[in-house]
Amino acid sequence: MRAFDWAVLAASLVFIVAYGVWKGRRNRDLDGYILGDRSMRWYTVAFSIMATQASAITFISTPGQAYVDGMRFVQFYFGLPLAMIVLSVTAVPLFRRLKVYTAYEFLERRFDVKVRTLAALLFLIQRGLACGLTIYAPAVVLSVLLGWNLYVTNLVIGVLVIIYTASGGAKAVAHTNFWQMVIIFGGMIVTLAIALSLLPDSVSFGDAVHVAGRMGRLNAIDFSFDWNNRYTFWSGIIGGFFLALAYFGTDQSQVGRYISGQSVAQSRLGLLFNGMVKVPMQFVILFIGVMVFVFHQFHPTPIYFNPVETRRVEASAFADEFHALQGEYDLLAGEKQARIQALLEARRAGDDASEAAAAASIDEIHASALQMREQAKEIVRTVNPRSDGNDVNYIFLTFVLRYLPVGVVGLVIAMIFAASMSSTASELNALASTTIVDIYQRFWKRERSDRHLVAISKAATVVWGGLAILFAEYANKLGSLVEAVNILGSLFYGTILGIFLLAFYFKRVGGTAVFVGALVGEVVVVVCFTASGISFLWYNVVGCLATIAVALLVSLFGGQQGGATAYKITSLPSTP
Amino acid sequence: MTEREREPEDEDPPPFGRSWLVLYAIVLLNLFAQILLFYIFRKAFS
Repeated sequence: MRAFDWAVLAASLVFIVAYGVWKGRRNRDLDGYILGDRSMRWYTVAFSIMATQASAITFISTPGQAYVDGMRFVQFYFGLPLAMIVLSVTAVPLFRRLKVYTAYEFLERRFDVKVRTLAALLFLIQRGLACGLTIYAPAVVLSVLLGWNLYVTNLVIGVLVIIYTASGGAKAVAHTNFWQMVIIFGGMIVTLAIALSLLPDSVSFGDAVHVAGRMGRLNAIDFSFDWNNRYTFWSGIIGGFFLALAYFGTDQSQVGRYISGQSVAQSRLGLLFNGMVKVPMQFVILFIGVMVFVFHQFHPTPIYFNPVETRRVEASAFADEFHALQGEYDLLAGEKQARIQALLEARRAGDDASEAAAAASIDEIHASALQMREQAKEIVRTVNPRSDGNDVNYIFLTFVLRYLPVGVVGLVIAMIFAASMSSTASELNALASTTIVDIYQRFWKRERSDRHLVAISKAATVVWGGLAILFAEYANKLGSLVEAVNILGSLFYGTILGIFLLAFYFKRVGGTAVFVGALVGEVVVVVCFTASGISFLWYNVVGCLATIAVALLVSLFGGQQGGATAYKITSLPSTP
Repeated sequence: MTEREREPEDEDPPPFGRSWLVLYAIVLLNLFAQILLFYIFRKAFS
C-alpha cells in the first residue's frame, strides 16, 4: 500500500469512529442505548441490516469463490426475500407491540424463563465465538497479503469498534453502519469498473462475459435437486429461507437493527429493502470475481495465491518441484489464452464449428491447469500440515494489490475494514443487550436506574469486545476448530427458529414442551452433522422441524398447555 | 389465535403503495424477475 492508500484508509476509519461517537453521544436510558430510542428511518434500518450481515469475509472470500466455482453461491440468498416478508408480517409488529429489547425477552412472555434463558445462552455462545471470527478472518488475510502483524491488526479492528459501539450504543451502530454500506457500495462499483477496464483492448465486455460463460463461471442457477450439493435453487429457496428466517428473526444482532425503527412501517420497509437489494448485491460481488477470473485468462497468474504458504514452499525441499509446476502452469496459460482468442474470433465471424472446437480445447487445457493447482495445493499441505491448501480467500485481494491504482487499493481495504467493523459493532451491541436484559436485569438487578443500566451496558460491550479480540488473537492456533465455529450458526439456528415458530404459531404449546423439543431438535442436528453428508443449509430445516415436531408431541401427550405465568399473550398479529 | 386488538401503528399504510400486500407482492415479483434474469443470463452465455 502506498501513502495515498493509507490516507484513504485512515480518513475512512477516523470518520467512522468519530461519527459513531458523535451520533451516540446522548443515551439516557436502555431505550436509547439498546434501541436508539426506536428512532431509525427505514433507510438507516435497511443499511444497518445489510452492513451487519455483510462481514469482511463476504468481500474477501466471495469473489474468490466465483473465480474458482462460478456464481452458484448467489442461490444461497434466494430464500432471504421470502423471510423478509414473513418477518414483516409476524415479528416486527409483535416485537414492537410488546416493546421488547431483545428477541429472547419475548420468549418468557410466551413460554417461561427457562426457554428464554436457553435461547439467550445459545445466542451468547454462538455469537460470542462468531464475533471473534468476524475480527480474525479479515485480519489474517490482510496480515498475509500486506505483511501486517496479525495480532496488531486484530487489536486495531477490535479497539476501533469498541470505542464507538461502547460509547454510542445502537445509535452509533446504526448510523455508522449506514456510512459503512456507502463505502462498501462505492468500493464494489469502483472495483468492478476498474476490473472491466483492465481487460485487453481486444476483449469487449460481451467477450468477457462470453468467455466466463463458456468456462462455466456464469452458473447462477442450478435447478437440480441434490442433498449433498451445497448451492442449488432448492437449497437456496428452502434451506436459505429457513436460515434467513432464523438469522433475521431470532439473532439479536439483526433483531436489534429493525426493532429500532421509528415505527412498524419504517422497520418493515427496512427489511423489505434488504429483501429487494441483497440478491443483486451478492450477484455483483460474485460477478466481480468472475471478471477477475476472465482478467487472469489474459494475464500471468500465480499457481497458488497465498504468498506466505508460497514462501514457505520456496524455502523447503519442494521449491524446485513447485517452480517447475508454476512454469508448466504458465505455458498452459499461454496456450489457453491463444485458444480463448481463437474462440472470440470464431464467435465474431459466426463460425460455430470453430467456436465449439476452441471451447472444447479450452476445457481440456483448463482441466489440466486445475490438476496442476491441485498438485500445488498438495505440496503446500505437505510442507505445512496445518494448512488446508485453500487459497480462495487470497485471490481477490491479490488482484487488488497487484493491479488496482493507488487510492483505489486504499478504498478497497477501507471497504474490508468497514464490513468487518459494521458486523462486529452490531454483534457487540447485541451481546451486551442480551447480557444485560436477559441475564443481568432478569436474574439480578430488575429495578435499577437508567443511568446504572446504561453504564453497565457500556461495560458489557467493552467486556464482550475484549473477549472477541482475545478469541481473535487465539483463533490462529485453533486450526480446524475455526471451521467448526464457522458452522456453529447452522448447528443452532434451526433449533432457535423452531422455538420462535412455536411461540408465534402454536398457541397451545407450553414452555416445558418447547424446552424438550429444542433439546431433541439439537441432538438431531448434531447427528446429521456427524453422521450424514447433507449440506449444512438443510440443518436449519431439520433442526426447526424436529424441534416443532417433538414439542407438539410432548405437548399432546404431556397435556401441558398455555404460556408464561407473568405475561400472557392473548393475541398474535395476523396478516395486515 | 384469538381476535387481536389492533394497534393503530400496525395499521399504518406504507409510505408508498396502497397496502403492505402490494409491497410484499413487489418483493416477490422482484425475486422472480431476478431468478429469471439469472437463468436467461446463464443460458445466453454458457
